[in-house]
Amino acid sequence: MASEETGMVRENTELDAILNRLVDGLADEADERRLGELLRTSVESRQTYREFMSLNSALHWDYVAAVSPPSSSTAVAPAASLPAKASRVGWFVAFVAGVVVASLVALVSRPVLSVPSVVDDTARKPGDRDEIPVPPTDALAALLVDEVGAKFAAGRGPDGVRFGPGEYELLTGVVHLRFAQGADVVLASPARLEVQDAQHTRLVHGKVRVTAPPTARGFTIATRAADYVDLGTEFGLRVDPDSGASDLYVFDGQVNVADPRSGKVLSEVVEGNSSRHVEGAVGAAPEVDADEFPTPGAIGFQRWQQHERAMRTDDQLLAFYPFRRGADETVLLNAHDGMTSGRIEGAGWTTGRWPGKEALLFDRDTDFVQLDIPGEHQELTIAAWLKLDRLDFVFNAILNSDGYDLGHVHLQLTRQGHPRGGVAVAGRYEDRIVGSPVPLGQWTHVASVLSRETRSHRVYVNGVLTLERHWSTDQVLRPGSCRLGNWLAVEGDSVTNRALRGRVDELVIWSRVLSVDEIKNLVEVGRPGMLGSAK
Amino acid sequence: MAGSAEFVAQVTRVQRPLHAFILSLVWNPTDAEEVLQETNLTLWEKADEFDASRPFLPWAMRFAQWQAMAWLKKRQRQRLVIDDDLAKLLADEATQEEAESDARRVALAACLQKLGTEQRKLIAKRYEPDGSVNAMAEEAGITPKAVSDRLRRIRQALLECIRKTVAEEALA
Repeated sequence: MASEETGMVRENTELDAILNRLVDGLADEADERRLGELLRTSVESRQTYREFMSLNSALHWDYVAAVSPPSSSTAVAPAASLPAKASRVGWFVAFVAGVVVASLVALVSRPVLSVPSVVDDTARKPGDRDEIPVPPTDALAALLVDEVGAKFAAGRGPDGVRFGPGEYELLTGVVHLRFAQGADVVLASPARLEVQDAQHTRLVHGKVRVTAPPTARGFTIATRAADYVDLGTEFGLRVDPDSGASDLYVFDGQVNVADPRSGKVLSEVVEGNSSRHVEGAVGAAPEVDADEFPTPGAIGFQRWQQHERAMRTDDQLLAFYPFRRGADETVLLNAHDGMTSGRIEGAGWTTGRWPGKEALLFDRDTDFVQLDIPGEHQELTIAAWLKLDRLDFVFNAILNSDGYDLGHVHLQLTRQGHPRGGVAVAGRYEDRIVGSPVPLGQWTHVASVLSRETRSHRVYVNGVLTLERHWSTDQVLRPGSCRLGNWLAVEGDSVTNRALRGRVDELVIWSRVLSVDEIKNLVEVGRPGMLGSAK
Repeated sequence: MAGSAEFVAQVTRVQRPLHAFILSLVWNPTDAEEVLQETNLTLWEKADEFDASRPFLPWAMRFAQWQAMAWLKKRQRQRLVIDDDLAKLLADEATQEEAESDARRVALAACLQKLGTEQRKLIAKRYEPDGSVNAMAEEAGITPKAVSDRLRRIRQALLECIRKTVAEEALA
């Protein structure tokens, strides 16, 4: 027994020595032969081998792939002064930070106007019928989830984003309300509304689109002519301010129309059908026109379109690509006056953040858009909306200058979704990862802010600082010829394929530093709707 | 199943185990990266053949094994150590330890924190992109073997710490 143990210890020590020589590139043929023997004959040796290799894999993968600087073989030609050693300090700092980051990825930023606990805390009884009581202590009936151009009449508006029982008059714009039991109501101006509680609202006049989940079954909109009881559905309702006539369009499910006085069900209207009621009497059914009723997504799109118009006049813009498909599908239009447009290679047009908005899909190694950002700059902000399908490579390019000369600008993501890049400088730089990575499958705003003066690069993900880089040498910014969604590699670089996998919808480049508040505002105006298009 | 969120999640989940397994066959981290990408491509191509009622990792490991062996054969490498039988054995045994290897990766993060400053610096230098024992030896003015010996002690400490942590957690 004792000799057996001694034998095992000897074998382990021997195996251990071989494995270390192997990964450090010092093993010889005898080592390899002996390793083969041990692995073939001993299950313990194989276990030791696997554990050893897993350790090396994890060290390479977690603490290198996630935080590695542009591969040091990038340091060709002009960056001779950017040797492999230069990145060491930065990498080490990030290495330590990376350990912390790994445990923080669960933190998710919350949209500014998210509906907090109201919906979740209210007793949900999916089986209950029409009358689900609302807790009497809670005067809150609904929250404002989203809006565009909304103006309420004096004294007839919400308390911030809170809608309690009371009268509301929307003069301009469109608002999206979420009632406490889950009903979503998009109200288009001009409109008057009397909110009673989370399940009962009177539409005096105006247009609403209602989408109700099972928890809001029985959600009722009363009008002068009739009451409309939602039975798990999506419908549009329009009340004429003069005649008081109510037109109903059921897009999905079923709505019961009830007499406002007796409560008797007058008719059951199912999807694809419409009805008209005037003073309790039935009129001729109107034509269904779904476009008349704004969707939650349409609010976001309208808000962004206002932003789009304002953007075109910003004189510190270097480029603004709104991602609108034009007559020539190979051109990525630069909406800013006098700036050159991009040339689309491979990437295909697809749907963007909202219905009716386009994006480009980058899906193959050969997909990219060639852009030109001429001139030398003291400051730059590069912002894009993207929705990642996958992160296939060590580096996945959002926008990279062709090659890697001094002053060139890179904005990319690591395999784990952490931003990477900055400006190519001579000498050292330090990276610090301080935030969460870019998630897969969700529209995400990434903003990269570079400054020659402060010698810093900051990347914000959905308005939250995620990566900070500092360097010590003076360097002007020269993005020049760039690729969106790809990289024109430096010859001989080992990490050449940096193709993006996913959609891009909007790219903006300013010749100045944007503040955190400005970036947060970009996230707010550009985010997709809360319903249907959130993911 | 191809393109479904579930398949995406599965492929994402097995990236690390696949990388570790591939590295145990091809040894060089850059090569392992490339073989992993090829494996991922194959997984997508074969997605429709996957039987969702069966575990995902063993299915994915098979493709990783084929890709890695094809890679080695094409380059005529590792012939003294790795053959098809041994590769299969390593794959089979690795899939048995799926849960444990997750625990080991979590433990590693904590164990790295327990290293001394000097040790951590050495690990950082060794595993940074293109970091090599030869470069470290040159910089420090010592032999590559001396550097490797130092690293060996640190790796041993990490492995020991991981073993202990996982064992403690198993008891907790």
